[in-house]
Amino acid sequence: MDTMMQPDDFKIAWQALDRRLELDNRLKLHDLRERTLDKTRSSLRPLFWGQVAQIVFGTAFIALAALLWMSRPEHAAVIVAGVLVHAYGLVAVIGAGVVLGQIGKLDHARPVLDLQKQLLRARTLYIRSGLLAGLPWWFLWIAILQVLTGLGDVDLLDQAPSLVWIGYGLGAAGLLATWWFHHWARRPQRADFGRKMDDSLTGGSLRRALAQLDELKRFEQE
Amino acid sequence: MDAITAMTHAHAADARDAFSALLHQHRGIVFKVANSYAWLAEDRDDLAQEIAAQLWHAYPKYDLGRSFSTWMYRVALNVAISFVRSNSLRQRHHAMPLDDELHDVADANADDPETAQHIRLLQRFIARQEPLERALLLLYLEDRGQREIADILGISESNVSTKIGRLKQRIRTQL
Repeated sequence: MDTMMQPDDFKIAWQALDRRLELDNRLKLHDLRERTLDKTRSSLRPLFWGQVAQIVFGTAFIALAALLWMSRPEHAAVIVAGVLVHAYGLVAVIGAGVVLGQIGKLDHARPVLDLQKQLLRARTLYIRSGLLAGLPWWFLWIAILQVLTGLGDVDLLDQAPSLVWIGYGLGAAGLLATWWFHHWARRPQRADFGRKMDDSLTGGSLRRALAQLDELKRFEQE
Repeated sequence: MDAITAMTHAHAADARDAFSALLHQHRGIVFKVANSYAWLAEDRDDLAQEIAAQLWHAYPKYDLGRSFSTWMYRVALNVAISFVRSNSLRQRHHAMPLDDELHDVADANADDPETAQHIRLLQRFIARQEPLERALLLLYLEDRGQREIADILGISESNVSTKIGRLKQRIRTQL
């Protein structure tokens, strides 16, 4: 059988396929109307609830800092720790708010390229805000300990200075090691390893989203 | 208060009826897009449902002065591209040999072997396209004008013209 097809043969095949599917489609249309139209199964729903959870999480840290301010702390180290915890809570809430704002702006009736870019930007923003919320934990745990003890009017730095300094030292070392490892894994000779590391940190979603953004840009430019 | 509630409900029922009529009139767009982006019957149904739901969700903001089919293509293609990019669908796609997935549509009510063969080649070609290229192919096969394609996809008319030229070339060389 001659399988050489011209674009016009393609259109004829498309119309033939359409005729074959028409009967099936009529039956399905009835089903579409019967099922509720308000029930979307948006892939953005987990992302939305993830941000809501981050806002709740951030608010809990702001509340913890507020409790400390109400107890009128006098020790400088406790105040600094309180500022760190408060700032972290604010960053977590603002980061999630920005992502939610991006999701809220999405309009499926926009031109395909515009909406797909918006979607991917929201996704990359979400992943990066997640990393931003995760990395401070190298330090944050010790600041939280200081705040919790500060609520009982105890200055942890004064009572157990070695614990605090070792904690911050470990945090600084951990953050530096993370930064160094991040750059080391991205050298050209370790491209595969870097990719695997990215995937383990972000589930591969950031790399995929960025690759899809590149695909959109190529489609727009060609 | 009750009168206001009744009027609101009546307005909502009118909007739903108007939407149902438009959905019926342009149902082909929903199903063609669903059939082009999902091969398994279960995925096709899910995608058609998701498109209809997003159309209903976006309908209050639809500008009556603009073409309904253009608006509908935008929504349907946006939903389909996002749908096909979701991990779960991709895994389900790859879990099944392509020929088996296409077989049920290509052979349903087959009238002659040559047409069936052409449909199968067409479906394989569609399946090989990236999501955005697939949108362009679908609009080209639907004989949509270059201006409308540009409006739906959000690229320039000259870009559409170049891409359709390349698409035709690929059809000639790959089949």
